[in-house]
Amino acid sequence: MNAVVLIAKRELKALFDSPIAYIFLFVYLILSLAFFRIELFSDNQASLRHLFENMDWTFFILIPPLAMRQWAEEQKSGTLELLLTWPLKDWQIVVGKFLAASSLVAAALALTLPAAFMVDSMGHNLDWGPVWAGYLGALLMGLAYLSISFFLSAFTESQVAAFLLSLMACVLLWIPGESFLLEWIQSSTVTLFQEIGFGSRFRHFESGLLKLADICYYLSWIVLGCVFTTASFQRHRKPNS
Amino acid sequence: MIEVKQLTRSYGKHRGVSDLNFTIEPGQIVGLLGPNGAGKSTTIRVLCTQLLPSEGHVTIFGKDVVKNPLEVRQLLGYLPENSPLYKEMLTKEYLLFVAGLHGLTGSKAKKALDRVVQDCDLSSTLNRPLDEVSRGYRQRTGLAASIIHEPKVLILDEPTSSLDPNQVSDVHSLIRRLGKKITVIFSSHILSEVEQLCQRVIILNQGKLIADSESSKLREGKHISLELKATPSEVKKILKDFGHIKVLKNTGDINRFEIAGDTSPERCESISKQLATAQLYPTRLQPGQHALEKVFSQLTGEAK
Repeated sequence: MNAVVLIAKRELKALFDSPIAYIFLFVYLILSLAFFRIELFSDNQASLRHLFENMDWTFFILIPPLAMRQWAEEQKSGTLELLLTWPLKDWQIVVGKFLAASSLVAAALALTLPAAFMVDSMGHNLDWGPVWAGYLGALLMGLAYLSISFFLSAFTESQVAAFLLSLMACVLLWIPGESFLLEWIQSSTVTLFQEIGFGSRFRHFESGLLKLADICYYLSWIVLGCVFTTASFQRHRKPNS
Repeated sequence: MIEVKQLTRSYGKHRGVSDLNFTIEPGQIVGLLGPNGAGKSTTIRVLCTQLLPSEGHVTIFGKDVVKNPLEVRQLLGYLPENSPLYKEMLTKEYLLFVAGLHGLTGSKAKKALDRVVQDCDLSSTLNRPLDEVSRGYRQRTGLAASIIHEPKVLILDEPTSSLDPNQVSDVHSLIRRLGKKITVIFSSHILSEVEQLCQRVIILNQGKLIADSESSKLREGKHISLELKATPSEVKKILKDFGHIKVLKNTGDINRFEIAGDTSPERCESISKQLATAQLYPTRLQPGQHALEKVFSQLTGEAK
């Protein structure tokens, strides 16, 4: 466990030593709060619905760039060779790096909390149940996007390729439950599509509904992404005969 | 002890190394020598558990690289080619990070840090970011990190490539010092480097072992060939301070001799000067090669 913490700490420091972490947090805040402000004042309601509504697409735009450098950079600088020969289990490397990137996603979400307190202090009697549920859902959805992007970026040395692959995967996972798609499909398969879609699952959290199935759904993607990333390490070791 | 038995490592249809066999006893400095693409890095990567062998077995102090990779990694220190490092870290931070990954914390880590800082002479750069120090210091930091956990075996992949002569000399003396305590395996494509540092040399070409010899044998066969218009007694008298002189041809006007020992340009120059004082001017004065040296020269094209 100590190795996981050491890797996570180093990774987090590397993120904050470069402009990446600051750009990520800044762009995330600008995107989510700008839309939130516009929509909050247009319908004058005490709700963070507008903040959460924009979270799915802000995540799948911002998380692939965060994940794309994780492995590509290690391969490019040669440090992956060191990681593979230090006395570490492959999963410790993956989990350490994932924890560091996850902290950044959590920090981005935490930075939007003042908006909730602001709405509450404006005398709107904010219902905090759906707010906390929304934050939990946003965190789980963000980490699921991150885990998938992590896995895909482990396959390429090119950061551009890693970004495009991850972006495509995130969009494909978001689309199925969206209304514009559901209008075009047969009514018998609507429920299935809603079950798959990251966005439609997230809307349960947004409305304050905490369902175990939704939590497990996102957790499954998080675990699967990390397991597959760990398994992908074998491709660096095994003879490709 | 390191045992490599019938090691084959394929990359698709291409064989990086093929049917490699050798054993290395503890406490030796061993040079893996060969031209680019000979299989040196592949062999090293299998020893370091970075690559799995396609066939064969490799054990390090009885631990199998496939079955016990974590135990093997604890026994090893490894410095890959070009010494990759996390350059955004301070030297001290990086060394403590590597120590931590090897299970050294608190006072143990501090002790280990002090030891490698002294061994690798890093005190002046300890609090500087690695991307701000010279290539030589980065190489030393990589070396320090590879020995921070006191490994039994140190493996270095072309540790002096792209260093300037002063930095090469620093790394050489460090390897010599380390070689007194632990087994050191290092790869190089420079024969003179291996000859200077190693007790043993393993030559690879196209993934196969083509020679495995004590490096002293490289020196044993060394000689300077000499051709000049003089009798053997004259030559032996004039060059009496240069060691054993073997007469190869003593039948004509111009005779041939072999002076055993070092073949450095300085020695050739001294011989030439000594002959000139006696008004003798050789028609040929050339460093000769031992069989092993010839093999390597042919491989690398130097013989041309």
